[in-house]
Amino acid sequence: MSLDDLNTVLPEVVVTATACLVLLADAILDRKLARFWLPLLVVLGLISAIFSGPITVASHTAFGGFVVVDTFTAFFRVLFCILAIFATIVAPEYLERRAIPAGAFYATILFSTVGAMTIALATDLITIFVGLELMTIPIYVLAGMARRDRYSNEAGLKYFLLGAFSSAMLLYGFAWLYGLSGTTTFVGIAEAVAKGGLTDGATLVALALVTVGLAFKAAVVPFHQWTPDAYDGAPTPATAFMSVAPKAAAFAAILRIMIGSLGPLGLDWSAVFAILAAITMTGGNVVALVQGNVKRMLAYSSIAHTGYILAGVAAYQAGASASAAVLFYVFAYGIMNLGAFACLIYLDLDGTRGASLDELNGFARRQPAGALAFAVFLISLTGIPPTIGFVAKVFILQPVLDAGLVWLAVAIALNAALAAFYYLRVVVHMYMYDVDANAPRLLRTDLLSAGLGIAGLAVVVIGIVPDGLYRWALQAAAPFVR
Amino acid sequence: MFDFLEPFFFAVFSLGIIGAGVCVVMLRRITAQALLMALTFASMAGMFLLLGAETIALFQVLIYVGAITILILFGVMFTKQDDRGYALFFQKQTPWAAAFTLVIAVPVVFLAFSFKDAITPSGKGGDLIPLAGSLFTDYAFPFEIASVLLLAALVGAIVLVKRDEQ
Repeated sequence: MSLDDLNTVLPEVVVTATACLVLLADAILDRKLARFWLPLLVVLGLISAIFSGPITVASHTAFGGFVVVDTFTAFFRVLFCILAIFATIVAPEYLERRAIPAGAFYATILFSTVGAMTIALATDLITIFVGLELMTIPIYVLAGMARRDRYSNEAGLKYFLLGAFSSAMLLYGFAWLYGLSGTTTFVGIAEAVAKGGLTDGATLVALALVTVGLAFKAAVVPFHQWTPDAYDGAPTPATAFMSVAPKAAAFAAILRIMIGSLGPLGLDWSAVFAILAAITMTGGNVVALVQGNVKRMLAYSSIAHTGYILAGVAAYQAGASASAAVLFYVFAYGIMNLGAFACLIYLDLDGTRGASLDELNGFARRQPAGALAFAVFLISLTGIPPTIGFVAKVFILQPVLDAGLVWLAVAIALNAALAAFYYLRVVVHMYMYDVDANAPRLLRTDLLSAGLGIAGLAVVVIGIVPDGLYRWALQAAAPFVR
Repeated sequence: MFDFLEPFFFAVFSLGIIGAGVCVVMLRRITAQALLMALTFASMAGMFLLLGAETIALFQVLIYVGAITILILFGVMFTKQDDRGYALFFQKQTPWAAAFTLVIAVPVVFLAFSFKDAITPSGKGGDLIPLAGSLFTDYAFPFEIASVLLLAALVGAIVLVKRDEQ
């Protein structure tokens, strides 16, 4: 290990150090000071992590080839740090109100971020597995952090049990891949596949186990059963983070493993992925339609979005534009979905878990800024211009058509129309209905409003000028172009 | 002359792992479950021995059979045990679980025999020095990430079980 090795993973080192600093500061500072300094420390640490690594870079390996920093890594590093920053900004008021230990909450988010970043760095199955675990184990804790809330306990436990189960599946699949190819590196596996060595039934078992394991992590139907309860029961700021970061990381892993190392197998798995994508988006949307609780509805809608992203993966034979579309959609989904969940914090501070549609009645009159932000996120999730969600759907449709999956493109369009119904219903309740008599009290939430304002602005601005982000996503997809 | 020994021990250890594992989820007495889990771990150690990884086998015995099982037994002794009329897992869904397991297990078992040229272990696994060497050179990065993982798990465990301040 040399200084150059450490320098390569500087952003990860910075985030880990920030997590430790936060834990120390939490122990030293008194409560009043901590309320101000802890979130600031986290945000500063994450910003310096973003700038301590390169934004665009030629591929560079370190730690004897166990770590690679390429444009793909840089893209995901920045994305994970941005998501962690937003999750931190929207949290303090909620944590205070619900008596959740703030220092531990932030540190746990930071640890999870390091894990997610590790996935983007990995060049072999061992590193990617350790990264996945480091990302998800803190998330189990986040889900169960409101200890006095039994729904939060349920969320944590359910997520933990199914997460452990899916990790075992994935690891077993990795073991088969290793047994078949004799190596754990992506490059080595890709070479073994290209040589035509892996065509027998054993490969199918390995492929099936890896697919199921990753599908669990990304909440693909029919491996999504844990999602609604885990998202619904977890403390809302935790939900906001766990609905986006692990999913983004799961897709980073899917791109690295399925396209990066099993790409030459291609025809064997892309059809399965296309079918899974169609089932996932339809299943998520249909169940979301009948939900009365907005938090649960958003949980199901996030499953539907997994389907759209998966469609991009299934179309990977269209080349760089498919991977770039996946990356762009993951970025867009990250910001808009985190924002949408965070908007529920307004109602959660004094109300029940999540919010029924009635609680949202007349929300626009009571909290105009918050309602506007919520409306922007919902419109973006629907895929209506001029938002990032619209652009992301267009970018997904293009490679899906190029790959000849016309039926999948039709499914995406139909699903978007279906989703519009339940997303816009919330907007109607906020703007057209009179305030409900027993609506929860709204407390002062300056930091939350500020965070949502920035995210909402980003959703609209990138929706109008998406070129920069798309070009960056194209660069980031370059490592997967053969 | 002793060619039959390896398959024989493989069968014994496999039965130990699978049988004890099934008992852990099906039994009702928690101390018995903990001890059977130790049997699973011990059989795993035997598997590592068969593969020629003596060091890993020793770690397995020291850490899993020794430390972790003892900790769990202490945990059992320190918590109140109510009489449960049911097992920890699989109360009503046993038939479903069995069917699901069979669906996965049968193809896996059949295809496991179709391995044409299985990778032979490098033979260095049992040696402590190459193991330590590769841990601190090749595998330094995943090793460090695993240590961050332990730190995160430690923080998480404390947060989830700590007593409230007021």
